[in-house]
Amino acid sequence: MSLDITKVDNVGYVTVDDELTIYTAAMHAEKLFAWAREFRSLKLDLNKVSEIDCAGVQLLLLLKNEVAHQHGKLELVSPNEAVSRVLTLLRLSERLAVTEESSSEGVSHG
Amino acid sequence: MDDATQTFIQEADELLVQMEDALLALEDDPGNEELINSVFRAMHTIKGAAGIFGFDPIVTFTHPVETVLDTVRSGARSIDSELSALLLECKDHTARLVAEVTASELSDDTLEQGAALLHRLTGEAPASVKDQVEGAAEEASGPANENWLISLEFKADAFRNGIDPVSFINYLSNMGEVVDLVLHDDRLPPADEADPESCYLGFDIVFRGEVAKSDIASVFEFAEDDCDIRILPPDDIEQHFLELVDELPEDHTRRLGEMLLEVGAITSHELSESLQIQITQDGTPPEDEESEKPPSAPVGEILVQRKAVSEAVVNKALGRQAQERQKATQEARLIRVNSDKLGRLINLVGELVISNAAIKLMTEKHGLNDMNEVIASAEHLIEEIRDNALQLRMVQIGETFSRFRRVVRDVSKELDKEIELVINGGDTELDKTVVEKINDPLTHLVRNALDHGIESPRERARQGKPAKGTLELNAYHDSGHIVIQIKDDGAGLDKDKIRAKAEAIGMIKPDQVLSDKELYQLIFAPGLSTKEKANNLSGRGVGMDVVRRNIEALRGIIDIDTELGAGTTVTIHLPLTLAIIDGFMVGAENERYIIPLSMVEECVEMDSGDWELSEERRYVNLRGEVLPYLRLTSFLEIPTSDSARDKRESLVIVRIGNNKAGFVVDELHGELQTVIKPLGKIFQGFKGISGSTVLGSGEVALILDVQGLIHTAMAQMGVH
Amino acid sequence: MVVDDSASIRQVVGIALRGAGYQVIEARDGRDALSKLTGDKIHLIISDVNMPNMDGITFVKELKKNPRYKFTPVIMLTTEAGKDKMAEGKAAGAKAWVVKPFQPPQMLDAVSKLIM
Repeated sequence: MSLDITKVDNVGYVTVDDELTIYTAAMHAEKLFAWAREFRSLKLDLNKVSEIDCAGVQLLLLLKNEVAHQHGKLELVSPNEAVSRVLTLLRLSERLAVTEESSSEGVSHG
Repeated sequence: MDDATQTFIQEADELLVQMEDALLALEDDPGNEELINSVFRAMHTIKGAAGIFGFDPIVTFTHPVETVLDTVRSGARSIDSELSALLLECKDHTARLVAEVTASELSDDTLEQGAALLHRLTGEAPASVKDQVEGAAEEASGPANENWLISLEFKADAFRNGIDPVSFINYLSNMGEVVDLVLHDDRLPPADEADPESCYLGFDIVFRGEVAKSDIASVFEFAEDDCDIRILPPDDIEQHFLELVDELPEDHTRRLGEMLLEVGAITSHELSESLQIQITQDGTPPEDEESEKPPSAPVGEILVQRKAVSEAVVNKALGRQAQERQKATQEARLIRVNSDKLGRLINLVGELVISNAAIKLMTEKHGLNDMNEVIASAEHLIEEIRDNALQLRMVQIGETFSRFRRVVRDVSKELDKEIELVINGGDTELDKTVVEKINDPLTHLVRNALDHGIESPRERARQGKPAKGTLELNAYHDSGHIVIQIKDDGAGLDKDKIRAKAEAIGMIKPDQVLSDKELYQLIFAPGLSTKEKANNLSGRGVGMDVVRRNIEALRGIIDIDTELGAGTTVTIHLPLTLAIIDGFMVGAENERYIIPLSMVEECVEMDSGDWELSEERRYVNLRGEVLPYLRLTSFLEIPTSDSARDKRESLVIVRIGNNKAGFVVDELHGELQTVIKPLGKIFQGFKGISGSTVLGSGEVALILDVQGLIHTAMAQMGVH
Repeated sequence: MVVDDSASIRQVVGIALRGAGYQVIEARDGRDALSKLTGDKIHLIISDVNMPNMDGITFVKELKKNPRYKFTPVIMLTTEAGKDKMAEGKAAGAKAWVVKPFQPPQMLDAVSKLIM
């Protein structure tokens, strides 16, 4: 599917290969929240996000809250240009602690 | 001639042919809707297309024609042969216009003809459509390069309606400079309750540009149904920030304040003032100025850097924020219950209590001893249900107290006084119905303290008091009651003044001896006010008698303690609940009476030798303690039988607050729980009775108004 | 997607939008538009109100029934800038409008408020 998760050192490593918009928000939310409860700490690779709108941003915020509620940590990494543009516009890059980090090497996603 | 224009000409030609065909066909079939539509659409489409190309003369001409055709379409007008002929002429003219305008060869002659045609058609000279379209008056833009504050609260359906805040903000950023922006996510529910397709977000944007307010408003035109928009012009921001502080949740305002401060839209003075206010509302003054903990939030840093506020103060504000978040997660586990339903439940529990008492009585009567255990366990369960049900209706008094923060702030401002509100025991719980009824009297008392109690800073300094006055709202439980205190460190009451006023209006005689306590109680008498002039806050103090009545209606009592120059403390005792009570039943002659159990301190039998009456002096000596007393039979004027003299009497010591008295009764019947039924209107005036109840046996027992009786007893003792 | 029964309007709007970097699908009325909704993502729909075969308001109502397009923003092209027509459009789910006659810059302006 368009959201893949791999477990790396007790953290759920998620690659988002889809749009994060009003059209996909509900669907992805279900999965992401379930993973948050399962793994508690998540790392989202945003490199392949095809499109993002405010609903998508809100989803990230909801996820951040849920992860915090689970006493875990949420990391957002490798935003592509579209994602960066929106996060910068909304002054969220710092608040969401988005980092440029490149994907971990040697990790196979599947 | 470009491709698009070619398309336009072609399209226009086709439409005009259609128009002519339709008009001719209408001569035979005048009401045909389809044909009429055809004619309409021709003009409508050509007009629209011409507009987009900027062929204004075509638009100007076709617009009134379209309007006329619209009236035909709606049935307001019909096409007769005259109109038909005219329309055909219009059609021809349009063709001419199209040919000339697209070739940029429009002649004055053509224009004149057009005007004449339209005049015949509508009887009016055509207005230039361009004027119509550009109707809006030009506004002067706002001061250039100053900061506007745009506050956006998007509603739940925004996303679903295709509104994307990001696009609007992006547009704004291209229109001017988005100096700074804060996204507010405080309305986000927890994940399992959130609908990812609903929008819970808001934004505060500081925007700079050469614009008028209407320019900014028009950016968000499309979002108007799905967003609450506020646009504050540069000079209004400071003023409105404080307003926003009150309306918005704290987290929101903190971030907002931070942003505004950074961009210089408000001064650190404003921000620190608002933070101070938030801290004052917390109720605890900054204790030690030497707190070593560094502020953790940016706003704290900024403020401390600018030396606007001490670190300790900021920490307190941040501490409170953490508290709020905790409270928020707690509150998420609550559900709302209709209070009528709750009331019904409690009533039913009350009936159950009575019912159970009846069952108990019957088992005793019939000697069904093996029922005892079952009855006892039923009784125990019912007690638990009762307690739980009553608990449902308990709310923390802190909510009520908190509302006074605003009052204190507003009044301090209005009167130019410095007053700090301290709240203790906000988590003390009491019945919701009581809470609702206590609000008015409390408000009055608080206002009194603010207005008459606490002095102006200058006056206080003169007396060597700290310039800032303190108003305390305290609440705690005590022997089945809730105690609420309103305490101020203000001027206190002048008992000489009170005395003078009371004598002046004839309430007491000049030589009448009154204890200080009794004197202060006079405050509650209607007509007594020692304030020279009224103000709009608390009037002439005529409200005190109403306050007392309100408290008494709740079966509570109110006391005043005061010291001239030092302050006043008003103490209110209220029963925890109004509905069901644990009572102690006593007998006087053959009548049964109930005393609320919480007020019973002790019962002593006559022949125990512990107590001795002095009928003359109207007191009872209980192991050396002198107390006022009442004999129920005489007070309640119960006819006594002849065997009165041989009766073994008992003494029940009751206490409310600091007042004690003894009731002399014939029999002690023990504890019971029962439901209070209010007295009917006829009986309201009865002294000494505050309610009635139905016993398990079906008999009615009256509930004594202990407070009133104590006062009577005291009065009797005092007089002699 | 641009839906209008006037070919020249479609053409001009199309040119303007493509010039601004958007891809455009054209349709001549509501029914035509619905038939061209193949499931591919559409970011914005611009639709005239008065069209034969299926008018704009009906089109929007039908559009909103399709889960693939129900959240898509719609700009109505309205000559009646008056409240009643726009209220109808809004009730159907179209939250934006451009008043005819308009010029391409006005159209682009409206578009850029709704999508980036």
